[in-house]
Amino acid sequence: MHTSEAIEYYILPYFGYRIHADTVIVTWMIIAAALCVGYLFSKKLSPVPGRLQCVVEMLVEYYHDLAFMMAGKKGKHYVPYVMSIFLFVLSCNWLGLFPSFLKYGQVQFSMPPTRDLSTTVALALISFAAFQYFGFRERGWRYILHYFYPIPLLVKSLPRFLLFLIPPLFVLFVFLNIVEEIARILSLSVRLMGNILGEHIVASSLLGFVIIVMELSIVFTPIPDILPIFILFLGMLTGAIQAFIFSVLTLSYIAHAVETDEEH
Amino acid sequence: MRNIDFRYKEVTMREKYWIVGILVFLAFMLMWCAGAAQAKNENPPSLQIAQHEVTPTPPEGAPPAAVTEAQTSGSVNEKKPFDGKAWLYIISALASALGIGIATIGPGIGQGSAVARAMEAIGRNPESQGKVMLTLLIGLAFIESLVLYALIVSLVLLFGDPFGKFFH
Repeated sequence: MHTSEAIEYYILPYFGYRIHADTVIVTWMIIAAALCVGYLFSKKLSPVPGRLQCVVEMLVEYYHDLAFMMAGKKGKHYVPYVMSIFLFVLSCNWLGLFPSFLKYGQVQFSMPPTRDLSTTVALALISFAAFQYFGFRERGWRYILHYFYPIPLLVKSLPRFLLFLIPPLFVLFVFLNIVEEIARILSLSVRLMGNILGEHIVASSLLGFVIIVMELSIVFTPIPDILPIFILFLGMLTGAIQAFIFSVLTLSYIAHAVETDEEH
Repeated sequence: MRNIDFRYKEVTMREKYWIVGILVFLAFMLMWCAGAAQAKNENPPSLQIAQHEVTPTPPEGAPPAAVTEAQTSGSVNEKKPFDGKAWLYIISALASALGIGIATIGPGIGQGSAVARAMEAIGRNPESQGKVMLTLLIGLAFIESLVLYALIVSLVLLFGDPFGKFFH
């Protein structure tokens, strides 16, 4: 395995666009597996929970507490979306821990779809649409006021001889709020992709080190074989924390969007 | 003066671990040296992994000028002189490495101070551990994204070849 292999894709042409086929295939596989697991879990629900049901219920209760802490009583409506994001990103991230089996010719493709910027940008755009939708659903047309936030306060509080400053400040603050929304998408997607891709590149360069040492036939040294285990353990931690952070940031953005308090 | 007789001194568990560890280390070193010597004797071509071709291959449409020069000069081992694109690659690699190195300094210090303050808060008020940990994780993610922007720039410089179109 070579270092640059972590960013190589199996590219298919599609009406003039270039599709990362391995990302698409692995994403559909994860969706199918998630559907099967969800169906199997929900078929055997019982009022006296078993072990697996206990674990899943702990997770769901944790997210319910989180949503209540952030968005109050109506926070429980956002838990299904946020938790499905969490589970999808978690399974995507942890798929990078396994050796890849997708092979095309001589090139072997590495697995996690979240190392691809397309996946994370798509997830961030879905989150963006989600908090716009929830904001409009909770606050109606007043959600638009969220985009020129400090202007009503300024109109109330500024003295009369400074009111001529309002129109340029209006343009400035609307621009800043729109930039803030775009920066949210950018930071959500780049954070997830950068973490997973960086961890993946480090892991694959350590594996390349192992292969180089093996080809130099320095025999019976377990040190290079042990080295990737630690980075894989770190990758497990990173994947879980990044999935958690993606979902919690989405939840906090939704909570920020549905706030009915005008004072923020 | 004490009469010390080493023959009947008991070997403690710690000394046993030390002795076994040193023996295992010596065995590994011996195996390593033997393997290296064997590799050097038997298959020296495998050492060519570290050698890279610095100059990239020319595009298909371009005439292979350098190859014909090498063929006419007659010497196979003669190296090509560095052209502009090789310097571009060298500078890109240096810039990406230095950039990610410098970019990790500030967020590292910031994350350290954030974790230290969170520890102080938990120590002062242990019941608030859950809330402090949640806020800490989100804040660390925000700090970390600064490094990741630099990481993206470094990756683009390393693998994306963004300035290659300006050179031939």
